[in-house]
Amino acid sequence: MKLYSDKGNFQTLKISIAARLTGTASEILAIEVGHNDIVAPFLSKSKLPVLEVAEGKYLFSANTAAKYLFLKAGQVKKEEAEDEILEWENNELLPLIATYLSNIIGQGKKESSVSDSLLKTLHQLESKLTKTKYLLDDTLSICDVCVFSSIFPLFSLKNQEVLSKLPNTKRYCEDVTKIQAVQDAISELTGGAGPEVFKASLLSQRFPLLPSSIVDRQTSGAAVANPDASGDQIPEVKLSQADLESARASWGKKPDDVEQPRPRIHPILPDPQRRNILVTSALPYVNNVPHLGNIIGCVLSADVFSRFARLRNYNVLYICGTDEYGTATETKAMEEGVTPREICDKYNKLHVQIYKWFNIDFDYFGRTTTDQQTEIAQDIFWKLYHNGYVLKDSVDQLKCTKCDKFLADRFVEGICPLCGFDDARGDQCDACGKLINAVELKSPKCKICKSSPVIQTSNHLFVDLPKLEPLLSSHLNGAFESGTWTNNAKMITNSWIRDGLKPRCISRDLKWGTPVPLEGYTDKVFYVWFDAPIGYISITANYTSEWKQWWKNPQQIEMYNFLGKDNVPFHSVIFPACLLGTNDGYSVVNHMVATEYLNYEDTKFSKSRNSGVFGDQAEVTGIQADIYRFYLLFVRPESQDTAFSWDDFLLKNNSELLNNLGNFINRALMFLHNNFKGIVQEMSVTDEDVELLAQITNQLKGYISNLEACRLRDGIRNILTISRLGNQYMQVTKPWVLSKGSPEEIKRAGSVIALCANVACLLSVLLQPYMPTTSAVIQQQLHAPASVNYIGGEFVPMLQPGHQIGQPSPLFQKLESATMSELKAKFAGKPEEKTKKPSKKGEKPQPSNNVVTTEDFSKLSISIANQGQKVRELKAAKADKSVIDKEVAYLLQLKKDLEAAQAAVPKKESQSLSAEQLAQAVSLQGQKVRELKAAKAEKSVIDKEVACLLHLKKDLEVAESQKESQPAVAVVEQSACVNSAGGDAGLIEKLTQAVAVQGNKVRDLKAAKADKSVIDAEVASLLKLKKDLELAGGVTAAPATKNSSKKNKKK
Amino acid sequence: MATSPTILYLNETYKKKIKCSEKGISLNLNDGKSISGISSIAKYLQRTQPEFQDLSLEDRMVFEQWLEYRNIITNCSDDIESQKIVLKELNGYLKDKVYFVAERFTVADVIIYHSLYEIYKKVTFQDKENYIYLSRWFNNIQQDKRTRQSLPQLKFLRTLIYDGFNGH
Repeated sequence: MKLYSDKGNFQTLKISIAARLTGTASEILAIEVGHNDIVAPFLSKSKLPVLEVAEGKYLFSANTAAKYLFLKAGQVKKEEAEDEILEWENNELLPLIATYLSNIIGQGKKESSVSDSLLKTLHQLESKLTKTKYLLDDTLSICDVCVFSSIFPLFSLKNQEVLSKLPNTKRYCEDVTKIQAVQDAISELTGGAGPEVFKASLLSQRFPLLPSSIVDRQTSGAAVANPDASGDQIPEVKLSQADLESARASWGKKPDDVEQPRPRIHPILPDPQRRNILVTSALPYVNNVPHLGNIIGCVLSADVFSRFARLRNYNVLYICGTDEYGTATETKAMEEGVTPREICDKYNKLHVQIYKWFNIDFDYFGRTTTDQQTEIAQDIFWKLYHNGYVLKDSVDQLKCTKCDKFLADRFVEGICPLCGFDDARGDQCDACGKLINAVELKSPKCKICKSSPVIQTSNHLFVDLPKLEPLLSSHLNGAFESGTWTNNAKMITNSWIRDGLKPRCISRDLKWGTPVPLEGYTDKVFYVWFDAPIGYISITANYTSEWKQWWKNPQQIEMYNFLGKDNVPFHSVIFPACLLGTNDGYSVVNHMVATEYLNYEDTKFSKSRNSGVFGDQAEVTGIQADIYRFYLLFVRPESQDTAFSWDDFLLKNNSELLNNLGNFINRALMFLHNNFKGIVQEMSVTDEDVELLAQITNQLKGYISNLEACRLRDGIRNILTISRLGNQYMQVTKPWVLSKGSPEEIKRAGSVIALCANVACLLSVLLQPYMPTTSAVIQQQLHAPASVNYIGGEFVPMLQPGHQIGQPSPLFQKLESATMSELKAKFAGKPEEKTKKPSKKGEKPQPSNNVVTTEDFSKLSISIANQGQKVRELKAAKADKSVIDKEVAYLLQLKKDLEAAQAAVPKKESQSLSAEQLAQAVSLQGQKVRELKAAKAEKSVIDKEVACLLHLKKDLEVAESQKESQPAVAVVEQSACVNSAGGDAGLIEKLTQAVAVQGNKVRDLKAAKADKSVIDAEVASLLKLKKDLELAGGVTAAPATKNSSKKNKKK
Repeated sequence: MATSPTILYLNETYKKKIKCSEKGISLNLNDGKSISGISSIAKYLQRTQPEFQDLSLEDRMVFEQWLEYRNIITNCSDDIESQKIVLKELNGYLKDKVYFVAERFTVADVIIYHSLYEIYKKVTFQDKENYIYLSRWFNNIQQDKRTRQSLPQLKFLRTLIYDGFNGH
């Protein structure tokens, strides 16, 4: 047997103790592996320890492995009872304790407290141990070995606060530790060291998750509520005495005790006394008007983070600009009959305007088409070249002599060399789906001028990524450990490196781009993905001549990249590798924040289909930029894709902004204005007040922790919780009642409202990164001094007694659902013609003359069934080819008609029509059969109709049994009666069946060596069905190459 | 609930009466004791049924650990990233196996099928092709009516349509 384990893995104790106790230790070969090594071929990493009990048989469950050893030695006595405890350990104890240990040992969060659920579970253990020495009885069993191993690290932390609550458990651990075998196993694992020996393993292993209903998220202090909850509840946070004391102490401080915000003086250069942060957002491609998804993915996210960092008094430089070189711009310029430069100028202005409207506070927004870009890109190239990281190779490319251009893959069409499909594109054949090279196409044609291109060999340059891999990996390992990387960024990067890096071509035969300086390649330009990230550097160089202080200063600065996930490989692999390869001291990325996709309603943003809101259109809607900012950040796609929804937009505006945040601030300020002439009164805090202060401080700490880690969505929740706390406070204290009472009570009202005004002030500061205009408005209404704009970890009253506020007024407006419906209709766009998608919300329903009745349906389907039968008979009878072809064509036409008819049926109705329609069809067909029999028609005719009737009945049965769970699926070939065309699921079902059936048909024909043209006809029909299925099933887009204009591209 | 088809299956196959209450799922044994928890019950049944007596100890343990794995599946129902890892693992494991344990149909197959169902229902066609071994196993298992209980069959395509369409 082989035992694979990483160093310091506390789960391995289970197996090693078991081995010693059962005397099987000699049969086990212990093999130490790395924390992330994969041991069994099918396992994902971070699943250790693993016991290989026989060749190819792996036990990756530590409990099962330990039990195996016990069983082998015959030391399992009460298997059922032991199984139960082991199950409890695996499902309840281990997930909770692993989370706790990961926080306290793994991440060193010393203030991490034992969560309530963990305590509850530990109490269960405690009560099991009241009567017996060990878990089952007074002898040690396998469950003791496993339970003990899991709690051992907790025990070794010697946390008296916890252990004092669990005397039995403490005694139990001490007893178990007395056993020699256990001591030996422990000392082998830890080598006598303390709990920190578990750290590396804890951080790398993946533990069983808890069902999400019990998950506690242990951010420092604040328990963040379930992010998708409507948010009416304020999270229950237990405050300790220490929390209360420190909140009270902070409240006693004066504004002068607080750090002053630092002014922003351009040019911003690194300051050795402060934390220096360089923030970049992925450069938007100049040619495309950004949509809301692009905006949240990059510039807006980076903006929130930069603003927050400035409020923390870090030294921040936020750089961005338009990415202007490349095929697309060149092509568009040709189309519009202007120079590429002119196109770029026009669109760059558009981008600048849009971002200005959204209030994106760049320190500098530039462009990539500058002299500095050429200079720096060529310099980087030369260094790579002289360091031996550039390869030369020749590539066969298609060149269109008429257009005098080398054709990019997507500009070539031709016949697929593999399947003969005549509309294959340059890189991939749509029919058979195989990847091909454009040069392999038969009869290729230039997409633009339709003439035939020739194959020319062109020399190109490649960057030797495999050679750069060690440099890159060593940088990334450090960066992953110490930096903030979103999960997707890490995973994508790792999979690129694991799959093996390949040399990448960095040159292109184009005219619009950074020229390659190498002799023999001077007619070429750099490939846009090599030179675009260099844009970050050159844009900085345009901002200040001292750019090297940021870009060649890795020790003093930290770089944050914000981008969409499709750009990750370029930013985390290619660009850093190139910079490291120059050996010129370049600063390389430390933190990477990548978002997933933002969809629009139930589809994607698409310019060509006019669906979704694009940057320049937002202004026209009349809704403020701040509200868009708020909503986009609220639904920011952090760990999975999310969708922009107008209904949700309305809901969040009205409930969170208006009723919660706006409501609190406005009523507090109005009260102050009306009752105390707007002058802040004396504050004397009661114990109740201190509770509030401590709660708010808790949220404040959570906010800081969330934003430092770029968890922008969670930061919003902290803000909204503080506001809710404020509202709740006012409800409880009822200052409007107090202010009409005795002088004592009036004083109390003044104190309460003064506190609320300070909460409002705090909110305005925390809100600034998200909604800068609103923040400024609040501060203006408060007449707050500029010095409040600093975020420390304490809640200090910045508005002191005697401070005069200004005129309050409502901050937000209610959005009406009528407005939302209008907007939905406006941005819905048109559906694609090919797929029969249901009408999007807001589109008008189909005109009534397209409504198909039940009779039409059944008539059509019966015709199809009959026709199908006819064709089969003809083929079997080896009739004349032309005759067969005619009938086949007619059959296909009928089927098409049926599809079209189904598509016209409005969504809601067709769902319920399925079973009923079938019933109708069955009764009609039954009637027909009866008539035929009564008329004593020919037997073959009767049989045919009977067959059809039987099929219909079968489908009806299926439809009825599946009515609850799925839309009815009818066999298309035989009776093709009804499918609910409503909903993509129904369409996919139908098409899936059709493809399967048609595929069978083709196979049969080929096996029967039928006539080629017949086969071809069926193959063509199959290919069309496959295409439809793909489109209906929503094939995911290929990864971003900038030049391809896919719709929901994020940069 | 993913467990109720499981309970129905176990009751039917082993002629038992497993009870389901708010406290949990339990089976009463002849000697007055009871076992609770689906995994423990399944382990017990497998241990004591005649058709499994010839399983080696190693195979028995592999069986038990796949029962435990069921929890990992049910607990990742909200987390797409974990789901992907789970599906990938299962797919890799089934690459060279027809069934989960000992080349024969066992309760492990049934239990994993039930716990995986809700997740696999939502998997796209493209992913079903990516996890081709898992899909092959799933389609095989769901043919058995008793295993399937009242769950509808999921659709699988015989013809590969996404071959070559994989991104990256």
